[in-house]
Amino acid sequence: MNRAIDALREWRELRARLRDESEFHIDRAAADFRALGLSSSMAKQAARARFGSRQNLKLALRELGGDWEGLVRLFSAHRVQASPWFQPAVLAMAILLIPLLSPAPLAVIEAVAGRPLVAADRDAVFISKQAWNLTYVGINRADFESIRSLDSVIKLERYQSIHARAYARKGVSLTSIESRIRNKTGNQRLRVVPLFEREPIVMGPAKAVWGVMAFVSLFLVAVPRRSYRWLGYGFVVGCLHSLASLLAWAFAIQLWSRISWPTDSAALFGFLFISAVCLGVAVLQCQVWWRDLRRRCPLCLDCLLLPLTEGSENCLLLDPATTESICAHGHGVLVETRWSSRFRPQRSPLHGLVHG
Amino acid sequence: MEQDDLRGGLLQGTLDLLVLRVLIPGALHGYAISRRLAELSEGWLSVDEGSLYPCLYRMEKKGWIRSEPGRSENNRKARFYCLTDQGTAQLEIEQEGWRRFQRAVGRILKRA
Repeated sequence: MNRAIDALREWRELRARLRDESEFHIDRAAADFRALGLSSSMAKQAARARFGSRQNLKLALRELGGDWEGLVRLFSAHRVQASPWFQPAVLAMAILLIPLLSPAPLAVIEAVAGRPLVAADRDAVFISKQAWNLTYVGINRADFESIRSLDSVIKLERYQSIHARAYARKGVSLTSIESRIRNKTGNQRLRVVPLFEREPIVMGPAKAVWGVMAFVSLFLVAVPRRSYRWLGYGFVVGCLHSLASLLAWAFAIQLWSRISWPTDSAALFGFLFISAVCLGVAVLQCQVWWRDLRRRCPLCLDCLLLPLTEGSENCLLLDPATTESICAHGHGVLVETRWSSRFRPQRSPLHGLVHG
Repeated sequence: MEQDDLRGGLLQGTLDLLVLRVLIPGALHGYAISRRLAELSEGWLSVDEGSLYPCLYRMEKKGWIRSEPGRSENNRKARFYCLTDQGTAQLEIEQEGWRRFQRAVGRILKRA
């Protein structure tokens, strides 16, 4: 325990020290520029342009283990985190835990699935016309009356004013009811499905956010194109992230809908708050996903180690900062700049002989 | 144009040697080290804070230099670095290594 506290103190001291040194460096450089006749703000700006930027400090911290990843390494948690199973395991636990915490787990799962999973009443059927975009648009009066004369369904009535609800006679399958209804009415777009009573959960915002995130992620992984294994891993972890996030959203909205809000504005404020939090978490998840993925070896999927930075963020054109990280299993080196990341596989000594 | 291309480049591993050498006269803060390196190289070498402070931190960890808090010329809090005995011994080793490297490169350039 004492060792852990000492390590934490040392990590904090390193961060504070590098920050102080950087500030001092900039201040002194600014003083020199002021002595040359620049105004105070111009001098500060010139000093920053000449010597230091936040990115430089970040790279220095990363090299010395003073960044957040360094903190993880400090507590030897990196061995667990470096494993390609770590993120999927954490996400799988979250995916299992969220429905368990929910007051109505099935509703949360159904909301994410976008369709009901279990019928409320085994014999109840839902009859409606399906449009080209797969939504149910209702059933007209003539068709409704035609169905009434069929003997395979009983207790036919209007459902949600535009659709129809009925009970199937014993021993008659849904397919058979559907074909009889279509033959009778001549309308091939009529569908018969089991009737489900569902708790409505608004999923639109969360699905829209994850749609955008999926698009951005596709672009991110398509550019480096390291290996199919790496892409597959990224895809699976990305899907788990989005599933966990959608479940969390459904759970939050379920709780929101069960609260008796004093006014409509309070309810709206609550909804907007949940939306903002979920959006923030989704962006954070994407960042975690990408930061983790880009520093994984495309062959063994383990984390790449020992980042070493050369160059400077102040010389973006002539000598840009380049960080090299190496795979512990000797599969190669990842070369990262501010704009790109490229994995150089380690060639075996025989490679030169074979390929010349 | 060729001279400009060479400006600012620092051979990997030489920063330790240069910083140790610059610290022989006495304790200096980070900015002064960077300025001193630029002055002594007549503006050829520029070391920015992103490279200098990790190097100073590493050398302090190895015990080659020691740092003490103090006040700079304009009365601002700063950290001053000075050589330790171990650092002086290391400087000898680094200088010897550099001379050998220089001789080897020189021989190649003469004969090739």
